[in-house]
Amino acid sequence: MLKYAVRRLAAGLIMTLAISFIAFMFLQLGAGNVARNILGLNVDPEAVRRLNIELGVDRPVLIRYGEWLWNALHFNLGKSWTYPGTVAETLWPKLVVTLTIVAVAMTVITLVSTALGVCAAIFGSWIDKFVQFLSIVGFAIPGFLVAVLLVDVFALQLHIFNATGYANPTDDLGEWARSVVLPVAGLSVTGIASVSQQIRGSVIDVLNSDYVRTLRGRGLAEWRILFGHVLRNAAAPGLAILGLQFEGLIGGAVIVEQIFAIPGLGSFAVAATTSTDFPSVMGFVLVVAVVVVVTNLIVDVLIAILNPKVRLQK
Amino acid sequence: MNEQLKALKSGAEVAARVLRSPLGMIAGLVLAALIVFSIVVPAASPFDPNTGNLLDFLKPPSATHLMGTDSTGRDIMLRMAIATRVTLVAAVFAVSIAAIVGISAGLAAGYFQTRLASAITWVNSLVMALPGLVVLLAASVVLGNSIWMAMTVIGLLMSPSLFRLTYSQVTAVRNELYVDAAKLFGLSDLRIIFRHVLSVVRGPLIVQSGILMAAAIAAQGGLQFLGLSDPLVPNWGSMLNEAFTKLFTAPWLLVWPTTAIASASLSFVFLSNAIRDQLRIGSSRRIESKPLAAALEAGARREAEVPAEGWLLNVENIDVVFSQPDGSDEQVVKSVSLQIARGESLGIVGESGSGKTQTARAILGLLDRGGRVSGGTVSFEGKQLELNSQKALRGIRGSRIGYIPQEPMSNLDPSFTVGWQLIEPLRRVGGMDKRQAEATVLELLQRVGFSNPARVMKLYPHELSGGMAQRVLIVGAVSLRPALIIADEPTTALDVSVQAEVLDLLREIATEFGIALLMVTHNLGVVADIASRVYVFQAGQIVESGTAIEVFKNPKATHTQQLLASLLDDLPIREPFVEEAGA
Repeated sequence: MLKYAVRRLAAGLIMTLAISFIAFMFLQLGAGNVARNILGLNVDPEAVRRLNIELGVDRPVLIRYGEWLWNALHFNLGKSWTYPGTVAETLWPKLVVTLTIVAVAMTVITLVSTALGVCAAIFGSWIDKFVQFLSIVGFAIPGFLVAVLLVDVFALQLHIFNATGYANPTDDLGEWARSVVLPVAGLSVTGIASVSQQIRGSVIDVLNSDYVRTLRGRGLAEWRILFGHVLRNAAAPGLAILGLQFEGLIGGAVIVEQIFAIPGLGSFAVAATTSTDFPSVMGFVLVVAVVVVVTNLIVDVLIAILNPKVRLQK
Repeated sequence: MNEQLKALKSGAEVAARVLRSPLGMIAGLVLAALIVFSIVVPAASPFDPNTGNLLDFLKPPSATHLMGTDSTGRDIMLRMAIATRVTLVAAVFAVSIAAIVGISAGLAAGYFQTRLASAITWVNSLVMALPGLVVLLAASVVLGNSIWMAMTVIGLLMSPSLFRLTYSQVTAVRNELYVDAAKLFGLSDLRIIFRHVLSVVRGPLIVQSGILMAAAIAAQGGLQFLGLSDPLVPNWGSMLNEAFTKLFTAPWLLVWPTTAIASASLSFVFLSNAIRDQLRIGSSRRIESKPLAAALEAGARREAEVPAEGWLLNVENIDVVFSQPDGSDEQVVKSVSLQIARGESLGIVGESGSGKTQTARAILGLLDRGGRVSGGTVSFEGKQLELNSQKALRGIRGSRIGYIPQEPMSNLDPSFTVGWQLIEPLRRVGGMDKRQAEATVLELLQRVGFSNPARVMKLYPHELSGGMAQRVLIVGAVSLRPALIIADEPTTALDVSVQAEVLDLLREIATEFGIALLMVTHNLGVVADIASRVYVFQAGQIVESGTAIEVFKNPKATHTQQLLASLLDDLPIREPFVEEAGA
């Protein structure tokens, strides 16, 4: 088990390294015109040259990647080209906001889609058809469209929730709750639609398995088989799906945060992108890669714990 | 699912059926309407998409501007039409990139299975690990805001789903013999790939493409909404963004982009669902059975005498049907009657798919989803069973009728130890306390031949061999001392050397505990070994019955004779039915 976890961790580190390297090289392809982007089109070539030197983009790319990596290992992501202060200082509070919202959305998705998926699998018939239909609709309509409609209906017409803005949970919990309801709803719809389908599928797979038939053949009550055996065995595929969903939510959060004017990673990423602020873009990519790799690691270990074949490996 | 999509008979036929299904038809009409709208309006409109009359800004729909005007006075209808065309063409472009990259990578990795394959798989998991929008944002820093650049990146990001689909299919097809055969005949690798593999993956790929179209529409809408798009090309996402910022002043602006995005995405997803459903119906989703022959050549029905205390189990004229996806019923067991006395051993023989397993499961109410008993009665210990009531049958399962399944390894729950699985029914169904249950299980494990039962109880199913697992399942079936055990091909999945041991064990235990045994098998040797009476199944019906000696010595039905003949092909010749069965 420990060996397995260490192997997964090593694979995750390599993955993070590969992503950061590819992203760095890729971003440098466009490095020639950075100074021009910042200074505008009609400037003195000498000013462009000076800024290039100041930003360091004139030196060999591998050396700069090495420096960046070395600094990143010391939690220093460099100085932002547009924000005052370092990338890490700017990034950290925004990451906390995004992860808070994504965590709430993840909880909602887990609870709602497990309930829907399990009910659809067990009861079948019209409940199943209804859940399937909802899933198709929820899956087809993009999350940002749902978010826009939610603002229109609940904030502007019914005045139930805040349309935009974000309150810190440490300052005012009630206000925070009111500010996250709509973003979380907007983020969750697509997730619930796809996860509930997959959970339905894995529960049906277990329900149709030979050992469930045999357990029935021993006279065990259906609810005992369901809670004791079916859900336990459907949990591993369910976890894998939820892990993938978490990664998707980080991307989804970028757009939803823009809609609700939430000061999270999304606004940071869009601002960094439009102003071609390389250190900030790299910081964003790295943070997302780390979050994804850590999520994968946790999910892999949880699945391994559920599976005696892996758990008992020396 | 993928196997079910194999039979893509005629594309035109499927398309016609898809358009005849209600959702498929609506989706098709909506997409057709969008296409017509995007072609006709730009041709007919007197306006320019990028210049507006600044005095006419944010006007609600009117006769001149059917959808109103935006904040710089431009005609929204014209801009919507151009945006629709751009969106659809861009989505097709992205899906084509995904298809070209994903399918060719899948074909290469699946067919050549070398280091190349592991490299491709690794890159694939790398692409899948990053949230797509993050990659798109990073890409737009370098590549700019051109929609074609964005669509290329989106296409690459979507390619893993098609890669996996192709890769798994190619791997499956590769392992089948006909590819080897084709190689033997000197067909080139490339031709093999195209002829065999592409015909297999075509159906699932078409279905997946519809979903990817919706995903591409959502992805470009999202990017445009964030402002990462070419400002000179009208598009849905930035129109939605404008509508969103003007929600208070011009709420109608929201209607157009919302309707367009939602209807296009929904149509593609519903269309691909409809195609999937149609492909499924035409193909082999039939449940394990051959159509019942109208009239079978019946052999002798040599009925046994009713014992003095009555039959232990009396099955009379039961029918079993499975409902099919298209709503019809398919009959797999037709009017089957059989009887078993207390302590007796009975054999049910027949080829696979002859209905013998379904008959056995029907008695216990363990038919798979969709199956039910549609006629006939079963009485057990003098009482009639409610065959379609799970609740009523639970009272006899395990406690009065034990069940031994066919495939030992898949019939143990992989998440629990042997001990837990064996003790649970004793406590929940048999009402024993923990100590009693443990003692019973230990004793029985010893009885079936485990020298260290305490250790076996701590093992997980994956740590057992097939023979061990089948012994554990035998313990599970006898532990509550039922009056009858239904054993469904209990030795088929085992090694030949273990088969005889397990069979002997089963016979001994049945005799020792006075349990009647109903043995389902396709192996006449097993029946000869263990059963006193035999029922021969063919195509869901009983074609012959009698004592084992009668049936084997003097088989009346052609089918029984064929079964006996096939037995002789792979076993040493045995007395006395050599000459008679040789027909």
